[in-house]
Amino acid sequence: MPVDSARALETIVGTLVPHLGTTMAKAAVAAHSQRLGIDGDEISPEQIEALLHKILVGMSIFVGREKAVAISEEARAAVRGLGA
Amino acid sequence: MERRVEILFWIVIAALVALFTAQVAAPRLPAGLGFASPVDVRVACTVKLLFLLVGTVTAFRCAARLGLDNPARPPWIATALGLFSTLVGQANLARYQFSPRIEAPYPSLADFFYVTAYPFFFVALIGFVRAYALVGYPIGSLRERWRWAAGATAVAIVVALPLLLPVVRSPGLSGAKALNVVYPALDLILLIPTFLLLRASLPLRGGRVWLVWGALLTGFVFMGVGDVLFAYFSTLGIASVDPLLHATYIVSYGSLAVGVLRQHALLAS
Repeated sequence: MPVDSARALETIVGTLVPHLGTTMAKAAVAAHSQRLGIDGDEISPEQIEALLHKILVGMSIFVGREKAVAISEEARAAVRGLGA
Repeated sequence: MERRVEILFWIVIAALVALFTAQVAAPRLPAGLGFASPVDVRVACTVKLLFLLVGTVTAFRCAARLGLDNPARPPWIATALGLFSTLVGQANLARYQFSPRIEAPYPSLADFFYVTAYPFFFVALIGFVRAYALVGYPIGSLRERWRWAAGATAVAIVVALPLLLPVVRSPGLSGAKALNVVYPALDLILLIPTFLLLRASLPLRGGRVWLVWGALLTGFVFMGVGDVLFAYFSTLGIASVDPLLHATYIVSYGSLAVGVLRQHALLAS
């Protein structure tokens, strides 16, 4: 079920901030969203998955694959919480 | 474990920087505490070897923890090889610094290894910038990066030229003089990817990842500063600032080791 785009992106940014800092977390999510064509009021589960995959790949260069998976899982759970 | 080692490293860095800076600021210290005493040289040498050894081993461990397809793995291997080459150079120099009679020749075999480290560091820094771009971090287009690189080159030349001119104009043609030009020139080249990586990493401030890059880039900047100062002062035959050079390299190697330790802690946590 689609969720509010702004809230979902904000939630994902919040998960990344402790690792990437506020500026890069916001910039990375914005850049990935733009590439994936996420620009409406709502974001679909497929778009969220695509965005989380991009974030996972991006985080891997800094924290390794294992931890990047954990961070992306954390973001996924936080976004799911929005739809509950 | 890594956190404790890091704290210990910072204490050692701070203590030695304070000691060496005091020696330059107050050269009339009591006997044995004067500038560049053999004891100081040996302490500085031992600490540098320790930092480089920890940095090398930990950088290899960081590379091993990253997957084969991870774009950050090759630059970490290159970083480890650069640190290893510097370590072998320092170990060669240590043979003389620990000998009570023989003064270290310049150039020596140590310089071969110091110079060999530069291509590895260059490849590493470029590799990290490339990795940032590959995984989609917004670090500007290729054209923008070229523009910034050109700007960094211009600034580096303007800053270094007044320092290097006396070296180039000094009389005679020797291996030492050639190296006194080669080292700062290599540092200027290294400064370009360092600047690009710094620009790409600055938005990371506030996050854990920045702690890694802040320390690593500090290490590379101080390495360049140390080489330029070494070339300048050794050409002019000014030995009274030797402690300052030791301090500069200790900050450089120490920061690199701390950065690598932080990266390993991030990967292992």
